[in-house]
Amino acid sequence: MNNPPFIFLGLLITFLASFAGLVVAPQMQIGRQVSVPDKLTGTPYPSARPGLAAKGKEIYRSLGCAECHTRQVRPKYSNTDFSTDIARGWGNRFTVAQDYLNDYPVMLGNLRVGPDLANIGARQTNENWHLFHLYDPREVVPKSLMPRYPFLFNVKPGARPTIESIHHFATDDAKNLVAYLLSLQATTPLFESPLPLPQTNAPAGGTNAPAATDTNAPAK
Amino acid sequence: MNASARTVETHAPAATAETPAVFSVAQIDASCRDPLFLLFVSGAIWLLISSFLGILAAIKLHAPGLFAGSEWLTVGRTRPAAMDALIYGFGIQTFLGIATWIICRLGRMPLLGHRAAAIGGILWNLGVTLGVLGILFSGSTGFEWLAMPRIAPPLLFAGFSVIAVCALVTFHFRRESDLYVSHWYVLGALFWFVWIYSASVLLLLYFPARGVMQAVVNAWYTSNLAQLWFGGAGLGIIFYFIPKLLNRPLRTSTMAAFAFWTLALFAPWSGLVQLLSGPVPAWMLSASVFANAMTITPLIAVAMVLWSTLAGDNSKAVEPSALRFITFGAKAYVIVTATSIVLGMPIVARVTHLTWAEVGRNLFGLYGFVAMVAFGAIYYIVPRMARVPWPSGKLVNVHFRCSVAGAVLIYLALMVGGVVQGFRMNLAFADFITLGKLNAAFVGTATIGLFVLLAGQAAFLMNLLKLLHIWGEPARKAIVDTVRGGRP
Repeated sequence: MNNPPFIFLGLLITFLASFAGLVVAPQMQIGRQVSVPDKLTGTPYPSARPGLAAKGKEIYRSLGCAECHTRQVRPKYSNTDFSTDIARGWGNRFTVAQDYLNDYPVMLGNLRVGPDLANIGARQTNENWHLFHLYDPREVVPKSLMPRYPFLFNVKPGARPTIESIHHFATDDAKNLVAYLLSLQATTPLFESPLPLPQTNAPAGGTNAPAATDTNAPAK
Repeated sequence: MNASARTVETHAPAATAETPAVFSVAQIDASCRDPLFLLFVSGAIWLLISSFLGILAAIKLHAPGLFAGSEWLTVGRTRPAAMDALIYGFGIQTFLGIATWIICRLGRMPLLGHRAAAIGGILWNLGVTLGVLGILFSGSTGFEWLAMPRIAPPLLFAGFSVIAVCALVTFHFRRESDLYVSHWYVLGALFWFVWIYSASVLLLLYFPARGVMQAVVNAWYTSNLAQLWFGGAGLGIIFYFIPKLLNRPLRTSTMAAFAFWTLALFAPWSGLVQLLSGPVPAWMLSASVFANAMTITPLIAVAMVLWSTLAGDNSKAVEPSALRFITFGAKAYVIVTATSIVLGMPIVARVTHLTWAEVGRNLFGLYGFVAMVAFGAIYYIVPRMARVPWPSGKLVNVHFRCSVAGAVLIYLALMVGGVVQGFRMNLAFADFITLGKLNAAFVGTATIGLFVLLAGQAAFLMNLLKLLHIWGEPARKAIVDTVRGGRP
């Protein structure tokens, strides 16, 4: 009770153990992941984001989009599991560590005021829709709680942009942000997160995929 | 032990021929005055700034078009700015000051290096200022509770370290060799903060870890900051003040020590429950779920200590207003820790994860536990340092009532709102816009709570500034006299 070095040693050991367990060990496992070839196309997944999308990510970070939008599709482990992320159409499979390999910062988000954005680029592919939605969310989603971002657009007083003309008003920041949103897709099937059964058989049928990568595929 | 303590004493710089062997309480308090005034007053100001920013962020959920033209007032910036101002500007800052004072008082030793500590305080506030402005004008780094841009962390780290070193040196040269259980908590918290803050900042901002590892480090940091820094230092403060104010011993110190070691053992492992069903390997989540459930051990021990120490006649407290705040803070600790344990259970997290319930838990931890404990300690410490009583008892009452009402309102509204939100989110057909509208009602109630808190905080700051004004009166008078005396 009266020995500071002893207390310090105790603190050091207990905390070092947790540091090793929750920081060092995960770093050895997920900190060393590398891209894997896509089973269907053979291209590495995840690949680096294109330049505009990479710039747009900085806008996403800086405007704090992650304060209200998560970027993670939660798994449905069993029939009794409540998670409806996949049923809502927020993704065709749950997200795993591999999906975030090239991201900095990784913004998983911790509050869902708005819908999840892990697959927004696959869900809504219209660039103008995204631009107009950023300009005034309530124009495209009535009663939306999302703030407007007029400072991402050069709209002179009196001008009334429409969904067709919005591209003309958009600043580079807005276009980059939308490029980033369109790049948000976690649809590539992975060994640790395969596509659910009904959808896996449909597209390529595995014929285009290199045989070597196919051995990683889970049993159908 | 005794022999070494004596040798230490002879080497102590303060033990010269002129200084007495025993320092009076007044001397010790006076030694802490300058740095602690700086920390407490700037803490109170940051608290108010944080509430303003938090209210701005909350209002935007009801009126999304408000201030839409101002990039820096967008909710994605005011919200992290409000959180970081609250945590770094108020919470850590005031707890650090109180911890330093407790180390001086328990060791019966005036603060060594109080000028250095004041410089540390200035560095810390410079860091918070640049950090909060950085979030507002250039955006957050994207990490929860570490949203300040890269310029801030070195200043914060330097400021914290300077004050912590002063406290440790004072501890080393203490006149009272016996350790009290608060020593453990407070020194442990200093040690933990330095570790978690430096490691997380390095792994997230300067030498970023790859991919989801960032989310792991972030969750590890926020959980440890809450449980080890705020929880550890807060319990140290509670276990110091409750026996002192009630003038009877802690029942029992052994139980409090047991709580300390079990907290040190389990709490640091529990952080990843924040990533439940997230994109990380399952073994990490399992480890954290288990550790999170095990934190019930220190919680029960803490609850037993509080229960048996607070049982009895509490009407003759030394400083009733301080006791009121600290007792509420202690109860809030039990509630918020219990809430964390429940929210970290996978079966509950399936509903409450990623909802307002987790926000409500965090805010209640900060406003109900951290802030109330800090207020109570400040109500005791400041009049003793300044040798001026609190100017207005009425403002103290207003402060207490508003703080309790606001914190409880926020907790209840966001907890219920979060559970409702979670259940509805788990119905695949529930429309997200209706869901948002529903949330807005609960968040609206919590926003009223923020306004109530703000009123209390304003009363607190007003009282504190009035006290400082009275305390500065002789000095101002002396200056005026000198100026007048200079003129014939």
